[in-house]
Amino acid sequence: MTAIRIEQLIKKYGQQTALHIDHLEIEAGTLTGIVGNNGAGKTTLFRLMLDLIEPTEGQAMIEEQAVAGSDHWKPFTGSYLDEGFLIDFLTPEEYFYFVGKLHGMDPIAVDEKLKVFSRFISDEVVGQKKYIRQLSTGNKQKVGIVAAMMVQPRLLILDEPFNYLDPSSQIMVKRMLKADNEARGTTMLVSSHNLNHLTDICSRVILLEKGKIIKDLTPPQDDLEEVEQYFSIQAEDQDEK
Amino acid sequence: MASYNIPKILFQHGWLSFRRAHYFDRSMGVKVLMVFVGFIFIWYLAMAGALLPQLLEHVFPDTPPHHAFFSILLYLYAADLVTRFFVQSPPKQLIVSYLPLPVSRSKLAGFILLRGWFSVFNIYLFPLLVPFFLRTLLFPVSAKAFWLALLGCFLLGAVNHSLITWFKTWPGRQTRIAALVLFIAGAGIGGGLYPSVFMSISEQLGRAFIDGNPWAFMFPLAAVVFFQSLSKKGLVQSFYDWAGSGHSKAPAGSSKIEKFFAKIPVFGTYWELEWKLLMRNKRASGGLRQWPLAIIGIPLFLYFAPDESSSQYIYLLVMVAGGYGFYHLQYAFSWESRFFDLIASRNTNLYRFMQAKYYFYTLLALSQILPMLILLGFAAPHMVLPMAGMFLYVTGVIFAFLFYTGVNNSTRIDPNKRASFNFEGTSGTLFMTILAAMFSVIFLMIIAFFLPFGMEESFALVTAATGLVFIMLHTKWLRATAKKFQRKKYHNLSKYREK
Repeated sequence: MTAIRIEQLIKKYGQQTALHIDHLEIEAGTLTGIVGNNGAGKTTLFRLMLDLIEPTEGQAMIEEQAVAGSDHWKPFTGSYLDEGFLIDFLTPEEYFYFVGKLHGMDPIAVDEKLKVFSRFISDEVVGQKKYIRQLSTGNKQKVGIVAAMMVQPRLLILDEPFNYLDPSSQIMVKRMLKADNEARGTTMLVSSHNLNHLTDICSRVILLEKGKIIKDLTPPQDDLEEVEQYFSIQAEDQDEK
Repeated sequence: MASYNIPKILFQHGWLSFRRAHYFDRSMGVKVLMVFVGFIFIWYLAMAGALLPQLLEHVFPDTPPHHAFFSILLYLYAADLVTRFFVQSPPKQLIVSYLPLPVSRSKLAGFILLRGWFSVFNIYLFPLLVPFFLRTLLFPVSAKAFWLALLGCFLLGAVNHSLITWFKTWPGRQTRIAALVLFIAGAGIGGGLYPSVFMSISEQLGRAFIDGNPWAFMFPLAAVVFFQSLSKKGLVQSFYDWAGSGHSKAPAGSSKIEKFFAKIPVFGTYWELEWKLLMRNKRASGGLRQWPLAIIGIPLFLYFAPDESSSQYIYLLVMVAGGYGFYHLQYAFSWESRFFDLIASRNTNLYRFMQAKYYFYTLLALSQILPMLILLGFAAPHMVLPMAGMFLYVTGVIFAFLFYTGVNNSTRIDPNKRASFNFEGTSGTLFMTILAAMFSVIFLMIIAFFLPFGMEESFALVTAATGLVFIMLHTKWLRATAKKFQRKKYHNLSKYREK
């Protein structure tokens, strides 16, 4: 079953094309990584998929229904892109309860779900009587990731989830994603600058560059050295400039 | 400790934080608007000060106007104290970053106290006092009396300033709240039960000022010194709290109101969020906390205003009859700009979100208008019906107008920025929208004029009827607003993301 289908999706800002994907299909239950340099179009793609920006042309579909102008995908989609998804005057607990309630979960159910993430969010986040705006950037990131995952969505979209996290937390995120994908068959779309993180967990890695898909690989069958080489050449080009 | 000039450095930083404050980071149009509003405010006060002598001569024909004014001087500064209690912020700079530096805590506390004097609350009455004393003292009495009267008034303001500073900086608030409430209640009861005694003391104090009686100055001065030293002691202690872990005072879900909202089906989730937004952000809570003042202030104003002039200011009720909602909904949807991406991408229905918001602010307005109507029943009974009619008009017609035009509010605002002089989110279009909302009432006044009843009754009838129609049709215009927002969603969300 196709979870995500993208057809002729174009996003332009003035004359600048931020994203141009002719065709992309993502099967349900796959953990797909999107990798690319800054400005590659990763966040633009996610915003289009969450109907937060309007495509210039084409459409993104979730479970075969167009996302734009529709709410059908919201009950089963969890997402965290940036701090714009956090309500900074709530405490993390209140934020979890609020998001849980939007997905029909009562506080007891939320508490139950949070137990799974107890090691990840640790004592620095919950039970601190701190508002989200008072948390460190890393802890805010944890709140966003947990809120997206705890509702047990069929589709999970995370933009740069490894950013701002300490090495242990990065490993924990990878484990959590992998475990959830295997246990519940969640379709996941995760972006990162770090190729290693994605190759560790993803069954498919898509390389975006200047808004276009330039590689679509399925590790471990496909050799990712090619991608690493691509980024090395890019870096050398930058040095020469 | 370091020998460099810490106060100078701190003052420089204070100036920079003021000069680089967000309210200067505006378009030229909004800056002009800010200057215009400031000028109008000062001009009103100056005109009131200049015309006050005639009014006092009219009301107290046998008393010199400055004596009549002195008899209400203590009332004026009691009102000033209450205003400061609700609105004046504690002089707490972002001091935490200075604490690890080689600066003594005592010096920092001294600096904070000194800087606290540069507050608009210490000067805002002077545009009124100066023209009044110019007319009543400088020429008819003497220049010395003029300056001494100003000095005396400054000292009374300074007592209030010191009292509020102590109150808002001392660690552990309960005792101080009790002390201040007792003080205000005592003064209020004293002034209410024995007004002639209270007015006589007030007049004697004012006359002692212009006579140059040193005791009249010594007592307020002693109070200032006393409360400033208490504040300094309290500030040094408060640093530990400020430099602490930044814990919020309210634990999650501790408020009974929040718990109550949480239990309400369908709208409870949104109401709980709306309430938290109001209570936990400076700008939003700053506006809301002025409402107890308005509930008392408006009936008081109408009590003193002559009955026959009610038609001249009746349209101003539009600003108060909708309670805090009239202010809040001017920036409808911008309050959520920092997290609208979440609202838009989660399992929420835009129409339901707007419906919850409408009910919330209508109920809030009702909770504010009811006590006001009760007070009006005693203070100005002829205004009860117009105010009730205007309540229906504002929560029906004006709220519908603000919701619908609020879709054009695509500016990101931070509800946690300072409340006073915060023009963030204000645009020329918004200014025109508010003017249109206010002047829409004039049309109703014209219709009321032709009805065969008294002005107040006719006005109440017309406003209530139009308001009720819009209240009954609220689901229709809310759906239309939600649809309009849906059409503008991408544009607004993109603007909300702009920092």
